[in-house]
Amino acid sequence: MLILRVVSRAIFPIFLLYTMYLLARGHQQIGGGFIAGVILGLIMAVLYIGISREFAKKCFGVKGYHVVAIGLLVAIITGIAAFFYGLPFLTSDFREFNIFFFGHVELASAAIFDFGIFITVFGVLLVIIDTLGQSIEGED
Amino acid sequence: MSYPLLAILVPVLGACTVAPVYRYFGRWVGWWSTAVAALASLIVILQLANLDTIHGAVSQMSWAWLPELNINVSLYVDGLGLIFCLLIACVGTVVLGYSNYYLSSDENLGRFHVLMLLFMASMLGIVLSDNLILLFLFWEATTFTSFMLVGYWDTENESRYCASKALYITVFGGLAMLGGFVLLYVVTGTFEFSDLLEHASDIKEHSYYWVITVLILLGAFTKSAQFPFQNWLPTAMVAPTPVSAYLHSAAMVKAGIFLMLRMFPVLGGTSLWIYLVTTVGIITMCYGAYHGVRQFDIKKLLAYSTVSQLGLIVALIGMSTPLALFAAVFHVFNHSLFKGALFLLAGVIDHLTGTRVMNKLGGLARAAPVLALLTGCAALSMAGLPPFNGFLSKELFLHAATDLESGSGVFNYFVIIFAVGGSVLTVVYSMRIFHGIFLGPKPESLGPLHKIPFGMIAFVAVPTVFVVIVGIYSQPFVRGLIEPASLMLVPNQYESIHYVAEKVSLWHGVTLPLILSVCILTTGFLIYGTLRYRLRVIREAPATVSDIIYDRIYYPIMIHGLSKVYLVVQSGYLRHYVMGVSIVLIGLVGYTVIAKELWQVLTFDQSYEMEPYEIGLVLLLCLATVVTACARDRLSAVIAFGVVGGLVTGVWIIYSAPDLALTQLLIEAMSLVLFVLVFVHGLPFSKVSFALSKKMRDIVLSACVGGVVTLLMWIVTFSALFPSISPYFLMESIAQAGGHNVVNVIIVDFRGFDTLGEITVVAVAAIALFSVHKLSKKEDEIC
Repeated sequence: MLILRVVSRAIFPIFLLYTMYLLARGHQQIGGGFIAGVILGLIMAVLYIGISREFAKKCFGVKGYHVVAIGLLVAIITGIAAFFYGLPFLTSDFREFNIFFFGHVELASAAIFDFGIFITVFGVLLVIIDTLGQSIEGED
Repeated sequence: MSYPLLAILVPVLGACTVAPVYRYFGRWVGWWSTAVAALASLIVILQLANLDTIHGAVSQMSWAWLPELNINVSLYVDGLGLIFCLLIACVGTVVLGYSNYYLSSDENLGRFHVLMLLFMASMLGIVLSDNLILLFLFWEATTFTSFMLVGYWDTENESRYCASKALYITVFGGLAMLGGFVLLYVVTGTFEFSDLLEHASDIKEHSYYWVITVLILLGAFTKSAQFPFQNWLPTAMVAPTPVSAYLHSAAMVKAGIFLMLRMFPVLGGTSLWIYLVTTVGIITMCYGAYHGVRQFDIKKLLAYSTVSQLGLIVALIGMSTPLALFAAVFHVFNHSLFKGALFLLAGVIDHLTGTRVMNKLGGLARAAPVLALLTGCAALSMAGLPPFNGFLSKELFLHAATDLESGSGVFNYFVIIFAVGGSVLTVVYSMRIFHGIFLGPKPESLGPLHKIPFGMIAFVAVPTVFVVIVGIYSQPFVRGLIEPASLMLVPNQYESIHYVAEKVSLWHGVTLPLILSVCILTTGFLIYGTLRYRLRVIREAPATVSDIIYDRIYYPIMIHGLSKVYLVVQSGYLRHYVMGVSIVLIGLVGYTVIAKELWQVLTFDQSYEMEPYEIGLVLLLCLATVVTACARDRLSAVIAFGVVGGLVTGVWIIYSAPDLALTQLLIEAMSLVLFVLVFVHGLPFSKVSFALSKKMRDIVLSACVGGVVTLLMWIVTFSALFPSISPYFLMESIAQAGGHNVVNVIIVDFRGFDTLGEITVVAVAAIALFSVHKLSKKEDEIC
């Protein structure tokens, strides 16, 4: 248990970065919102089992259902945004940019939608883990 | 951004801001939402000022929404839509202002104002939509918000029963209406109302015409509480008074009327329309008036009177002459004013005396002279007395009823007799409200009177003042609002509409309608005079036929019948759901294979040779599956199943689907964690044993599923039934979406709408889990 406790503390920031990386490159290479969301959820589970519910909650500092709501909102707003360009719901667009340090980058509006998926999936897992876990502690 | 869309968006955005405002400013949220409603009214009025009133000019705007399905966010702004907008926004503003005095700050004001604003937005949406599917969505949004508003005091059983009654009846009509819209689409190939106008004559000659008309009228009749669907409206009076004043006088019940007016150029004017609509309207008018006379609760009386007045309007729409249509639009306008005022006044009387039962009320005029004056104006306008606005449209109604061109002689007499009868009863119940409450002796049981806030009276006075103004200075309103709206119904009858509009005035010589009016008023007063004392001993009206049908047949079927079906379908056991899905899969795939003779395409590609490690992987996979199935307890089953998942990941890697492999791996890990949590939660690790027969059933079923899936894989792998879609995605993903990861591009772009649906489902599942957990916890606490 001690090893898990120490390791889970250590890997938390690394994995957080890694999910961001997966999310960002999702449109071009393996990755994407769903995968990143599940990984973050797994980290949550590891912290939860490895340390404690309180610690896991402190690390994320948010309520699961708020996260779910925000995620859905992001996804829907991305869809609605197309209306302002006179296009149908959820039409996506992309531009190519040359950004300092990152070089040549393609940014698609679908990436924001992907971000919404990421948030929603993570929020859902947060709710599930927290709810199931709560009932365990309730039984003690 | 165009004005009409803004009119819909302003209340929606306002509703979004209600929660934070309520949290930080408490009861001031009421004034905030009043201000939002006032802004919406202002937008509507500006739009009205832009309208070319002489020709009733139309402006259209459209944004693509789901163009593949012909569903667009398209608005159609004309005189008819705008007069309804004006009523919805302005009456809404008055009602919201009034509610600040009516609701105490202990209530959940946030919920009330969110729902009211959303309701306003959806009503505005109905009257401005061009696309019929959009109209339907707004229509159902009003049904939903009104359900929540009628059941506002949700801890009371009666409230919940009445709210669901309104919901069940109007949803039934709404679905019928959707069916009508779809049939219209089948006939014409468009959902846009503006395009339907060009197909009007084709539709009327089509063999589906009568089906379409009956279905759409069902929607209108249920929403506007027409006989025999009227019974939800009186019971909906359990709602807070501002809700009744808004929904049940000016807004929601007028949605059905609006639909009929809107559809009139497309569907109206045929003999089916004339006979059906006029008959239903005129029967509703008399029926509502008769029950109105027998009520004791002021609000119930007003509800039945609304039923009756709506019947009058529907009858006018049925008559289909330009005069009748003009009168219908005019009466919609007038009725919203006087009935809105009366509902608000009922709330004030309730506030003043603490009761709404008319037996306990009387002689209040001395104590509350202003209130008596306002009620007098509104009630006498409803009775059809000059110089109020109700008189003008009532005269037009009588004129239209006596002036029926079409229809056989018997039908015309029937209409006139019922019209006069209904009007007499209207006079009687109007007198009950005014005379019964404010004049006559004061009952001793009446307790001390409360003080009424000035603001409350001020908000009630607004519609009442218009009752008088419209009555006396009718021309500007008639020419500016009613005429352009009626022109939309009969666009090529400008002369006759204009002729009618010019003649609207309090005095136009001794004519047949005037004589009838005098007779009606005299008879009404006489009947009230003789009934007045006996009314106090009349028992409350018995249950109506509609109530009996609803309570004995419709409600039991909806609640008990469907709950039985529900219990069978939703057994709560995961294995039953899996079984259902499997059987459907076997059935569908098996049927297709047999019907299309697909086994003929099966070939076996001999050239492909499996690598040794592939064979090993497959064997391991089989082994793990068998172990899963044979596991003696749940934990080993879960672990073995994890092994299956891991091996499947291996398959993905070998056949180069790294995205899938990663996802599969993560999901395996996640499910393992969740399984562990569930086990700890209390699901026993112990082994589960089933009877042999059940085991056999499961084995047969799973063998069938396995066989069907294998067959399916075989068919799709070795035959080219359809051209593959992969090259399209591979080509287009960079060109159209700028992404190299095709899987991701499909998820977030090409199939973005599906994904949105999926994450919504997942989110709902999480919230369901959360609430089930909370609920079970609460029950524990109670026990």
